[in-house]
Order: sequence, then C-alpha cells, then structure tokens
Amino acid sequence: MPLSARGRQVADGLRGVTSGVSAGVLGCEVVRHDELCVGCGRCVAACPTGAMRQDDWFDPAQLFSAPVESGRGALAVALRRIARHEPSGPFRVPERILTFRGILFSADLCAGCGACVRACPTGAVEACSVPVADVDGASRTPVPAGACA
Amino acid sequence: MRVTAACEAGAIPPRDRTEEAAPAGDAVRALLCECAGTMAGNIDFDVLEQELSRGAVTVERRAMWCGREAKGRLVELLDLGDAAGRVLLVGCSSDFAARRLQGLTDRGLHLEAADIREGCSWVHGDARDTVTDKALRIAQAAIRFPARRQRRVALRPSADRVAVVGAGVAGTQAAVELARMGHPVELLERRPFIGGRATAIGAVFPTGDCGPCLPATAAQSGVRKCLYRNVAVDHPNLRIRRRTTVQSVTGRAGDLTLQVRSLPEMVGSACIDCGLCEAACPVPGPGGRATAIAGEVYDGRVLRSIDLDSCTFCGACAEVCPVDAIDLTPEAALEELHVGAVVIATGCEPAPGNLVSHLGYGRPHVMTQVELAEKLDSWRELSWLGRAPARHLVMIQCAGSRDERRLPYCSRLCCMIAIKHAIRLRELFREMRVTICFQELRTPGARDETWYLAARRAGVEFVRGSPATVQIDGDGRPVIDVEDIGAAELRRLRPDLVVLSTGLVPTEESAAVARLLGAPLDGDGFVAQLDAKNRTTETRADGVFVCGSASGPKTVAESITDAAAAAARVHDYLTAGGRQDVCPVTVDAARCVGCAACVGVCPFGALALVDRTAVSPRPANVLPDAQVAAVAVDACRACGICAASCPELAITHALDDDTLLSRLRMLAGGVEGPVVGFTCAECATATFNLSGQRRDRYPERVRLIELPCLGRISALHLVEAARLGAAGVFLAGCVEGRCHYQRGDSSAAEQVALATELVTQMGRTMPIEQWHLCAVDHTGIGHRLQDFCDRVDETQAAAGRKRELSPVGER
Repeated sequence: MPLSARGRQVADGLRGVTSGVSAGVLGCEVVRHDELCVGCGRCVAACPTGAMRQDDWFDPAQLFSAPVESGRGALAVALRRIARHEPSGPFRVPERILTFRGILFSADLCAGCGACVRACPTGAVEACSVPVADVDGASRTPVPAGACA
Repeated sequence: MRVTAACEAGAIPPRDRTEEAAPAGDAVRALLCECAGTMAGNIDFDVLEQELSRGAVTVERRAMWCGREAKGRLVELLDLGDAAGRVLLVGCSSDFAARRLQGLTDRGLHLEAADIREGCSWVHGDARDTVTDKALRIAQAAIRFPARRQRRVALRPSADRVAVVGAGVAGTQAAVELARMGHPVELLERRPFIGGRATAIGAVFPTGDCGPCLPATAAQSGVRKCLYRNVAVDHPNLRIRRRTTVQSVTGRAGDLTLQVRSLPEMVGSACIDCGLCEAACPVPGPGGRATAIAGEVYDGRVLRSIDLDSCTFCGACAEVCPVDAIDLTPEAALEELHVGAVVIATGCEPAPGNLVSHLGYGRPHVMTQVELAEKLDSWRELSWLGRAPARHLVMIQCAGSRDERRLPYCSRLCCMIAIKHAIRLRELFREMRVTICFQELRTPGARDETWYLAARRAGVEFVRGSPATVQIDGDGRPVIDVEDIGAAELRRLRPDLVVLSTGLVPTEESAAVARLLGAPLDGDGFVAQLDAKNRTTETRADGVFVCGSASGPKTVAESITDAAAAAARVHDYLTAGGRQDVCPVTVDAARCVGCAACVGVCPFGALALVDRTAVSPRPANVLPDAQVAAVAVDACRACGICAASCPELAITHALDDDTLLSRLRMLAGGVEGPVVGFTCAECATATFNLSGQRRDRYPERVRLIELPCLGRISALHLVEAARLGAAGVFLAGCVEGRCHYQRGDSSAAEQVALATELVTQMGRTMPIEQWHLCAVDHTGIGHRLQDFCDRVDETQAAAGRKRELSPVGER
C-alpha cells in the first residue's frame, strides 16, 4: 500500500525517532503519525522484533498536534487556555499511566512485516514496502525466519 | 436511556433487569429547606428562593422538609410519580436526607439532594453574601447539571445451584448449610473421601478431641456428630462428587458452567465393609499403605477406595467381593454443572520440605508437626508398652516461616499445634523431655493462653531462641545450637527427635481453581478476600466465594464459622438478586478506537473488545475491522476509572465530563482563588458530612465536588480547575488500599501526577494533593482545610514573586 500524502511528507523528512526505513529482510518504510497515536502500545505488543518500544517519557507537544475532538486534543485545548508559556519539553510519565507515552521506533530492528500497521487502532502507523536494494545493506540485521506475521 | 455498545453488538448479553422509567420532561422541583432556622444566620433564603425560581424550576420553601406536615406533601409528590419531575432537596446532605426520609425513599420517592447545610451554612462564618452565593451555586450545580439518572438493575443469578470446591471441614460445612437453606449443592472433592486435613491430624485444638465432626442438626442427638454419621451430610439437596476436579469454567457471574472430571468410584454402595478385598489385593498402595484398595478411617461413608495410581486392575478384589460391589470397568467421566455461585474451600497444606531443609528436614530423626500428628495415635500403643519413641524431643517454631526468603508470613496455628502436641507427648510419655524453641509464642485470647499455661504445668520446656540450622553428628543424631535469650546463654541441645513447626501454604488446587474462576490471589498465594474486614468470605470475582483456609490458615473452629458465614453470603447472593442501583457506563462507538486502555484499567473486568457490527459508526481514521470496547452491564460497578482513562473520551459515565466540568465551573465561580476539593462518594464524603454536622468551620473558598470514586477524575478535570483560577486542588478518597473500587485511588494518583506535570509545564502553579480519609478523621477536617488553604496561599505567593523576578516567557 503506498503512503498517504501526509505519510509521504513525514517520510521525506524522516525524523528517525518514531519513523524510519526498515533495514529488515522485507524492506519497508514505517511512518508514524504522532498526532493520531494514543500511545496504547498495541503496536509494541504486535511487533515481533521489538522495533516498537513504549517510551517512559512523554512530549506534551504531541498533545498539541492531536485532533481537537480527541481526548488528547481536548486536553491540549484546556492546556492552551492556562498556558503562560510553551511547554518545556518531555517529562517522565507516572509508571502506571499507559496512554500518555511516546512510541519509539528503531528502524534497525524492524523486519518490515507490517504487524504494527495492522495492530494500530487509529491508523497512526503507516508502512509501504521499498525495494530491498534501496535499503542500506550495511545496517541490515538478520531476522529469524517466521518472525514476520 | 442509551443502550450500551455491548448490548448493541450483542456480544455480552445483559442479565434480566428491570429498568425504571425515565422522569418525564425536564421539570425540576426544588424543595428548599431552612432546616428549622439553623441556616438563617448566614444564608439569605429570600435571595436563594428568588434566584432558584428562575427558569423551569418550581421552588417549594419550607422551614423543615422532614417535619410531619412536609412529609404529607412528600407523599403527594410520591403519588404524582414522574409527573412531579425531578425532585431535589436543597438542604442537608443526601446521606442525612436519606435517613430522615427513609420511609418515603423506600416507597420509591427518588430524591436528589444539594447540600447547603453541612456542606455550606453550618461550616462557614457570618459572611452572609459569600455564604448565600456559595449555597446558590451548590443548588444550581445540582439543579442545572444532573448526573444521568441511576438505572436500577436487579441482577438475578439464573441458576440456584451452588458448587463447593473442596470437601474439607469448611467445604462440607458450607455445603451442608447451603443444602439446608434450600439450594441444590454440588460438593466437589479431589480425593476419594471427605473431611480433608482434619481427618489426618487426630486431635485438634481448642477442644482436644478429633477434628472431623460437624454440628449436629436439630433432628439429631448431641451437639456434634462425626462426618460419617452426621445426617446433615445426607441432605437430599447435597450431592457429593468424589475424585472430582474442575476442568474449565465458562459463562458469566451468576450463571457459570463448570466442566468437571470425575474419576470412577469403582467400589459401589453395595459394599458391606467386610475387608476381603483388602486381604486379596496384591499391590502395595501409596505412602506406605499395604494395599491399593483400602478403607478410609474417618470418612465412614466411603468404606473402601481404590488408589488409581497404584492399582494394576488385576481384578483380584472384584473376584473375592461377596456382594459384587467392585466394578473396575468405568472410565473417567466429564460432566457440565450449571451453577449460580461457587465456593472455593480448597484449604491449605503444610509447607513443602524444601523450605525447611536448612533445619535438617529429610534426614532421619527430623519430622514436621503434621507427620508427628499422624504418628501420635500409633505411638499410643508404645506408651502402653512403656517405650518412649524418644528421650528428648525438640520442637522448632516458625520453621521456614516469617522469613523473607522462605514463607514471609505467620501461619497463626503452628504455636497452638506445637503446644497441643507437647502436652499430648508429656501425657503419653512421662519421662520424655519436650523442649519448644520459639521466637515469639502466639497464643492470643484467654482460651489459647490456657493451653500455654497447661503446657508449662505439664513440664514442657520453653526456650526463647530460634536455631539457624539443625546439624547432624557422626552418629546421625541431630545437634541444635540455640541462643537462649531468656537465660542469655548459648545452649547445645542433642535431642533424639526434632519436630519442625512448618507454616501452611495454599494448596496447588486453590490457585488452579481460583484462576479458572477469575478470582485473584493475594501476595501470599491465598485466595484474595473482597474486603479484609467486611467481606472476608467473598472473592473479587462476582459470585465466587471463599471459606476456610483457602483464604489464609484457619483452625477447625474458625473454618466451621467461616463456612457458615460464606453460606449465608451465597444464599443472600442467590436470593436477593445481587447488586442494585448500578448505572453502567456507555461506550460511544463513533469515538472508540479500540485501543483497549479501558480493558486494562477496569478493576472488575467489565470491559472487553468486541467486533464492530457493520452498522455501528466508527472514528474516521480507524480501520474497518477495528474492534470496539463493550461494557458488561452486570460486572460494571460504575466507578468511572475507564472514563477517566479513555484517551478518546469515548466512554460516558453517569456523571459525564460535561456535567462534571459544568459543576466545576459553577462551584469554582464567585470567589477569588477557589480551593477545589473532589471527594469520593464513600469514605471521604462520610468524613466531610460528619465534620459538617459538627459544624467544624473552614473557609468559604473551599468548594467540594462529589465523585462516585476518585477514579473518575482525569487530568482534564484538574487542568480545567487550573483554568478556573483554582489556587489549589485536593482529592479526598478512602484510606490507602481501601478504595471501594480497588483501583480508583491509584488511578487518581496517576492522573494527579500527570496533571501536575502538565500544569507546571504551562507555567502555572496549582498544588494538587491527594488525601486518604476515613470517618474518624472528621474531627480534624476544619483544621486540615484551613491548613491546606494557608499552604496553597504561600505556594502561590512564592510563585508570584518568582514570576515578577523573571518575566521572560510570559504571554
């Protein structure tokens, strides 16, 4: 499946922390839309290689890009109203809160199987396959057979 | 009334429920109560009446709404039914009103309450305008922003049958009680005989006679009867299934299907106990028993049973049986039982030997108290022959117990068991020296202390000191080095026999059955009680009960009491129709993305992901096959933790976000720097009401908002409080670990941590505290609130000074 226009835009300026080009056997471009992500971690659970990881930190900036009608958006609107200045940056999330966490993506672990895309309930993960030749061979990690869903 | 997504999807069918009709229209009738003039000092009722009358509100003002005349009017309103509209008492707290007008509420008068008495007038000073404004806001918040009407759900388990798992003393007694109450009971026992551990240990304390007897029924002579001759066990409602284990459990609370596997009995009821089979059996049985077919001494009901692991099915027993009672052909049978409730009575067992290997267990001359108990009866013969099995016997208390690396807890019974055995040994063998090494002896209560004193009189030697190891010398005799704390000296004991008082651990079966039934275990592996003080015979799984040692080591006496208590609870559960007045939450399928955050936080497992129906709406970016969360109406306790945790605001609680935020805006207004307090409807509200009834004063700027549970609070509400200029916020809930909804307390703590971080990031200062209160704290509420206000002001002043010094970054 080709990337959406927005996905292409993100992919062109791949940030490396939450999106990236897979180095796995199934070459694949994984793009995450942080604004749609609710941080539920279903992609983390689905990922067979551990390329998706739930962060202990959360960047409030992620709230402010969320759609206004979502819970995160509503919280962002409320926060805007009380803001004296811009948020000062990522903070460590209380241990048991599961939904306010960033999701980190490690491209060098990704096998390109697409399990995360199927697992994501909000469509915050997109992926499109890229020819294997395009993938930087040097950073390729072997993936055990059958690891891809 | 909205139908829950679950019912819509048809995934989790609701139980039979009777719904109350919704009130007609939006008409509101405010019953303004002056409480016999006790509020006249600081509330201007004319203003209140005038202001409340605006809009579609009918105000009926009286000096006292709980007086006799007023009650006549309330009866009229009751008769009007829904035509009366929403009836709202503006006066005392709902708790107080409910008690004063109980007769009417019992007859069906649905009365909401806005507390302007112990929540306002009685706790404030003479500032008439401010107090009147606050009272008006309290009334308006309740009138204009109602919570969704509580739906009455009468839950009725659909099966009257009860399964009791485990036929020890507790299980058998619970089964007998339930059968006598009229419930069909299935008593499931893994072993071929009933009576459990009590049958193996001979005499028990505190009585000193044997264990396996149950209370006699009124129809029998005497006060107790042995299991095998107690006709209570023969009740027609009671079916005993021996050699039966639970394989799987399906269904929902109140209507469970247990699949049970029964091994064949093989020896039928024709058996006349002649014993010819035992003589003919060529195969040795388990545990040193001579034959694979044997009689169970204590369970006189099963005359002979065959150990299926050792039996070779040679047929020798069947051949010699004169009444053809033995049939070796049947196979294990699977059967399904439909039950409304399950009682877990799987008991406990002695700690495994590896926990006491450091004390020499496994070597000759070292045994446990349980092994000693089994030997005591056969030793009696030795005493007649005048031969003691040992000259010196040492008992070591807390063997492997109260030790972080082994058993961390105290099993409570071991001290009494040791004392009981020590006395018995001294009675049987006058020359035997019996020493008990202990850390602390736990013989609480007058009766148990008597046993201790009796042991001293009987010549039992007590040494305070706990040996670290038991060594074995060259002759294979135990050597114990113990520091005698009482005599302040190191002593070396060279006993002939060492008896270890090991702790008691839950049976393996306990954990397996509890897992199948969805009942969680506590930290020590016993079945967790719903409430350690008030609901000790219930588990956290609805319709699953626990009694006896399955929830922690108990004496035979305690087990019998516990079993009767559990039976009464089960009867109540099966007949009273379970819970009532439950208002479940609803899931908006158009917003739910199916992230399962709610599934993880619900303490009652009431939420699950189900497939979407083709017609149900879904959020724009969600995949067509994405699942949706669904509420199981009968499991939901309406705490609101899910609604607070939903990242998409897809879950609507009876007290929905709009109502809660509107109330917050209404109450936080009209005052400079309000201090907002969220209280849970349970312990915290009780504390504040009691405090208010004592007229314990606190500042008017404290504004209280009642939540069903603190779990309802989300970071959004706290940020909104900051927007409204709240100087500080406190959350008052139950005592730590005593949340009525298990996790509401910790859920609130997380939301507070999150909100504090976010609010601080935005450059605001708003202290948020979480308090753990219970009703005895009511004497200090006024002081606590005043103190909090002072602290908040200090923090705000300090923050203000800091901002003046560094205005960079200001907007």
